[in-house]
Amino acid sequence: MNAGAGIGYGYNVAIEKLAEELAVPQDRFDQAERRYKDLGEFLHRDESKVREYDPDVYIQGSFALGTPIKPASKDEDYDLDIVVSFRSLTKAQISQADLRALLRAELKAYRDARGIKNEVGESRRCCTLIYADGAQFHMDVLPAVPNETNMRVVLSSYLEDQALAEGAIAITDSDKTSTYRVITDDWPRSNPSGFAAWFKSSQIEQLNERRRAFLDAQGKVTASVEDVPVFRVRTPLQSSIMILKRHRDEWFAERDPDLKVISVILTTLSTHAYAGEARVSDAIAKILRDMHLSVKERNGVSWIANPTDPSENFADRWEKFPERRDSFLAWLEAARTDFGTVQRFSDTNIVLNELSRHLGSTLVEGARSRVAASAGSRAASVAPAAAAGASAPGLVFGGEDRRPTEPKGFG
Amino acid sequence: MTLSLTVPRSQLEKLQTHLKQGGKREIGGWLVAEQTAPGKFELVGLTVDLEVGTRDRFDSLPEPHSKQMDRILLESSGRTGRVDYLGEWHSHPAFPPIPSEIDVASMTNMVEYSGPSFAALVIVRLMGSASIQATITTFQRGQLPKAGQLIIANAVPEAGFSESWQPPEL
Repeated sequence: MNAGAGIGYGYNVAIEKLAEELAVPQDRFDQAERRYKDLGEFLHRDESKVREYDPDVYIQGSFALGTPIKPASKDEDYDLDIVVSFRSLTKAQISQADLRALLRAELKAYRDARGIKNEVGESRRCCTLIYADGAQFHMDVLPAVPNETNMRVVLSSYLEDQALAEGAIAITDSDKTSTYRVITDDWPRSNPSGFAAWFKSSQIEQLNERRRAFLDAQGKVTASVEDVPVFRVRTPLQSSIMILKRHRDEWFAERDPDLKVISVILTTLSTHAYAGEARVSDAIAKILRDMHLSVKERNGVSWIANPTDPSENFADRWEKFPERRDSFLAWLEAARTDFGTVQRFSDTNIVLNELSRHLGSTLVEGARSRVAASAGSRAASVAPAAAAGASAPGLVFGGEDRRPTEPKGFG
Repeated sequence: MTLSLTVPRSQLEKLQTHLKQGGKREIGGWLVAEQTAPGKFELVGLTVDLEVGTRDRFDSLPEPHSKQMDRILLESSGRTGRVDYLGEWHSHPAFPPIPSEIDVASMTNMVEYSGPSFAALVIVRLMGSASIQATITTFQRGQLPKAGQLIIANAVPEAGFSESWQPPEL
């Protein structure tokens, strides 16, 4: 895709502003970081019952990938997914149920210590804490033990790179009744840090350009880009995923929300389809064109492989519920139509009017305000250009403030 | 409309001095110009950052250049045309003086989203001890990059300014 391949100027501006409007404010990221670090410190306190197991607390999911979006309403929470990996425990020492009980007891102590009103909840794989302090945070805490050795064996059997095993964990699943309460090697696997590393590596050029700009803006020109967390910047891939997530939410809200395409599928397929496009509008076009290509067939079963664990099929539920696969394809076709219809338009307002039906009016009106705010400072340049007979703003020093305010990188 | 930038001999000499100081590192800064007619500009000053560049990278940070531009504006207060930021310049000591993909992306991003609605990018390379190769590219909101025209006032032919490249396809 390139600028000459059918992306209208107005569409491009609209998409950029939609991504800005959807983005979670940086103070929310800071808040999320404080929350999980606070839990980590709590689990390492002197009286902690789990301190001896060396708990490693880190963030996973959309906050780790830099792809969370603002909730559509004030009644919805930010989902903050936390991993607590007990680094000095092994599957040979404890059952899944006992590991869960260990963490639950500590989370109850944490809840009491921090004055959180809601009880510690539980789901199939994690414990849940809901803050009632207006922070809109819903924290899912996933207990785990290291599983790199086991994962290396799995990767070896698939002739895959064993380096992918780095960060692999074993997690609990209360629905697996035959293995949940006994000491066994048979635990569900996961590798959120490996997935995050894959996500970063798939867009490393765009990511590092923005990390460098972030450091430049802070005056830290000698710092390493590696020091900038992925959530501090927003790449075209991250922005595209955010916009497609909102489109998905709106599309399924009008149909059957139970069939909604899960975020890990949307993120994985988008990342596979992304090819380093520098603009969000180009990235969305490429992703929508190609995202179906990474849905494979294995023995008649639709298969979306976890990039860090080829034995895991993110679309495993499509086999039992084929309507989920149909819904994915129907949503993808709708997204292609909805964005494709307006992508050649050069009038930002028309683009936003059209997208309002598919992305929600609150989001679109927010984006419209952002367009107006940035256009206001530029409007003055149009008048002298028009006077000079140019159709575009023209090559004339008008009333605009021309001095750059943001760093630029050249090479 | 094609943008043309006239470079007085005095500014060309300053540029040569900077390029010699920069050596094998990329250096650059802002172009400050007087508008003489729509699309026509005369260079009245160059800002320069000799510190931040590497062999293949130059970062244009607003603060040092904005301060230098203030001085240029003071010195050119007697001019009749409007004097303002025209764009960016930097050297390619190790590469041909044409915009790289990063250069194009940075300039496009600026005119589309964060900065003025048009800007010029001049890329220069010192050949030997005196001759300079250079290109100028115009970036304008909503349009593809376009080659501009560099005119050396009282030009001596061996200055060697080149405009024979085609803008890259984005």
